Amino acid sequence: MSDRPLSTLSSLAPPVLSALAGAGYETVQDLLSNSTPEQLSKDLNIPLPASQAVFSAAAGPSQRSLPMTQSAAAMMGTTAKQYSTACPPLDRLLGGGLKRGFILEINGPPGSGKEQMAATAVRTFVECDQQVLFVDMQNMVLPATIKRILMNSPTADPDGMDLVRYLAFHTTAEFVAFVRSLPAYLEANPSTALLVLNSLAFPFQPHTIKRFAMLDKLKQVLARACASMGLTVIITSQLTTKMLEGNGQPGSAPPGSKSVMIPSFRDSDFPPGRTYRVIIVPLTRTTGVIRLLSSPTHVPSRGQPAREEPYQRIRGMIS
Amino acid sequence: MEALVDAVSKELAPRPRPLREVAHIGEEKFTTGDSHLDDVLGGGIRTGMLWEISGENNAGKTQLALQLALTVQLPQRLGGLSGAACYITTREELPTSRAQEMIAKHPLLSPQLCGLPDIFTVRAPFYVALQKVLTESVPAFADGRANTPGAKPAKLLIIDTFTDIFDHLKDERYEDTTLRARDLRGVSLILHRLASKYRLAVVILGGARDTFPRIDGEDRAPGELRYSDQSRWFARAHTLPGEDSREAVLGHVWPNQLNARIMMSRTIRTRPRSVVDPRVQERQGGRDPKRRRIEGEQQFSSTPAPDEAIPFRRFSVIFSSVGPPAFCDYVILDEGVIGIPPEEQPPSTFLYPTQPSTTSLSSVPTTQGLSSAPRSTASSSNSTQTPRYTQSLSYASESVSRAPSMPPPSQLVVTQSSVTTTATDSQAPLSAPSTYDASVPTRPPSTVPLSQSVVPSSQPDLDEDWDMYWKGTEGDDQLYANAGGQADNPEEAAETGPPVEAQETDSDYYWKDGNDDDALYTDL
Repeated sequence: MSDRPLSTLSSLAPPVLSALAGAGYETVQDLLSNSTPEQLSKDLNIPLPASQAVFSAAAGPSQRSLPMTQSAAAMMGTTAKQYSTACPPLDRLLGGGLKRGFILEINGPPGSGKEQMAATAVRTFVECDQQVLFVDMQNMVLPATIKRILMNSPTADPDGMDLVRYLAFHTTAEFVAFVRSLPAYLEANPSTALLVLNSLAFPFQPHTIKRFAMLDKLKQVLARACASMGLTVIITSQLTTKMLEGNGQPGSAPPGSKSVMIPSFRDSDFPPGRTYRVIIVPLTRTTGVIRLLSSPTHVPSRGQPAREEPYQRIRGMIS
Repeated sequence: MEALVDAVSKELAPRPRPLREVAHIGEEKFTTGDSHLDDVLGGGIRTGMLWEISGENNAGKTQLALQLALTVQLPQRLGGLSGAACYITTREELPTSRAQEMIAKHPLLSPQLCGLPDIFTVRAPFYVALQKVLTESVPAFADGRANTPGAKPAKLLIIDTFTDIFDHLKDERYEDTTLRARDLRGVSLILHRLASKYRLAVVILGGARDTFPRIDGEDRAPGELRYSDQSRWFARAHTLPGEDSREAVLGHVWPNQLNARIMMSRTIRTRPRSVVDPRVQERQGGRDPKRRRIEGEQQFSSTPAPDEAIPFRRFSVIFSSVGPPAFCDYVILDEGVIGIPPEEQPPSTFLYPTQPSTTSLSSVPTTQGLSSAPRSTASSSNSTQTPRYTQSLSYASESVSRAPSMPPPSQLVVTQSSVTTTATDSQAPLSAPSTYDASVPTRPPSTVPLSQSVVPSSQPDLDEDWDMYWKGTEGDDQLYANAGGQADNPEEAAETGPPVEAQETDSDYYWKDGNDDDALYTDL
């Protein structure tokens, strides 16, 4: 996918294609790693929505049942090292652990422990002497919790705390400002290996029209950071309830009709080719499964059962 | 233009801080006034979070909230934060004379250390009022306290009873579920921002209603979970048979907003006052108020009734971001809410030694209606009232009985990764009863009182129980470890006290007839 010539993107209009060629963009890789929609619109003198369309087309369709081609950068990986998430069932779903440059999104109902999972995964990175930026948006993981997790491990290093930076905010505006300033932060702190976005759905709760733009911007920033510096990202998201009428149509249902809980974000909100999406499904008070919703190489199509790994809660998550 | 926005963002963006600098955030907590409740909560009520305490009417939520508004004022050496409280009421005024009584009688509280002046109270009967209070009055109060040297800073915000505001029976605008969802999200944002900015503990009280079994079938797709299935685990507590017949009222949007949810339930268990109330034990035939009255009426004392049956209640953490699910029992006395170690064996996921785990299975047969005499009379007398007790047997018993049966199905969990695991689990405890007979003499006396009869427990037996249950926790970081699976015990040692009905005859009505007062809420 990375070497795919831009001229093969059939959804782009010929004038746009020739402008791209004239500006020196030949393959998809050129475009994705070197530019943003805003910059491109400036360079090519095309309106912003058009350049955003270029990027969406270059990123490729997201729902496919065929194995997805991965970008060359993702295949290489900065290292082959896999970081354990400290949760064995999750590690198994990931094929051993989380690699640098990949994104893991954990969905789950309230109280399922997804935020705690993200916080515990920090420890692996700290033990490998990597820097972490932990962003919490709903007061789920307070700094003292991270400190406790780090200090409780048998190989705890008191200086491990210095590898972690913590940031908390709640509003949409702060989120937008954060995403825009993230590239600069990463440039100033190039050894940041893990970014945790805890309770990412919270700033998106006020449903605004800007939601798509915000998510698009986040996706661009993350894609670039994962590709260029091998940033690993762990995201936790709550589920949204969708009301169904009796016959399965969405709508504002009268009370008593069926409702389902679905992830707050879609597959297309995350960079394709580098995102794992899982969902925690409690089945009893202490056990359940973690299901793989999508991975860089495979999107399960409808009707296909998803891979799952059972878990058991002993005050956290353990196999 | 883009560059300009980027530059502005860079300036306005919140800056990440080194963990070492902010590691104290999240450590701040204050006692509830009772060590057992504190242990269940993971050390006490922590600031900077949104807690919900749900429970039916007269379960004792307001009692506990009042107690919190007083204990937060205590100095740090006594477990408080030297803080002030904001108490927002939606229905009635703050029960001030009850607060005075607690100050007078509770062992930790005293008039020198805490009082009404440090509780800022305001009424907000509907959403617009609540929004105004939260965006104007509370910040003004908190800022004022912060800027006044020597004044106690605001550390606790209570909303009693939050769910009343969003009750569609009281405000028909909220029959529109979209509107209600939007308003709930709006309030949640305000509350989280208040919690972060002023490092407050935000405690909202919520109602609970009867649950009704819903079978909706399998999940439609890997990423779609049936709401009625999942809500069992975040809207109800499952530590006691019958406890999950009540569920928290607000669902869908609201549980996602919370950091922790607690359920306070009334149960049908009782204890004689002589066993539970320390003052009756100490005193030789002293005087003791038999029944508490609502504020405004004189408290009167009657002749002591050492054998008066006092209801035992259950305090459960359903989920919490700072601690594992845990539970204990409690009673309501003159001095306030007093916690007691749970009489039932906790589920074996808390890694108790094997001996208790066998007795944990023994608690299951009693719920299955074996031949012991008290059981049968209870079920026959309750048959006309569809009590929550038998309701749970029919629907929720699967989930309840699964919990104590951890040892046998551990192999099942590994080999099966589908929904059928739950069905298999439930078979295990159902077969267990057949191996026990009704007498089960080896069990601790705690599992006997499933009837209304008075339990003649003697003090030494209870001591023995407490030693068995109690595991020393060396610090609250042991109460919620990471996935290292340390043995822990969020349960607490006992000190029993007979529960005293804290409200007036309302509670008798609920007690006897089941609560038909709670209307059928919608799923939201």
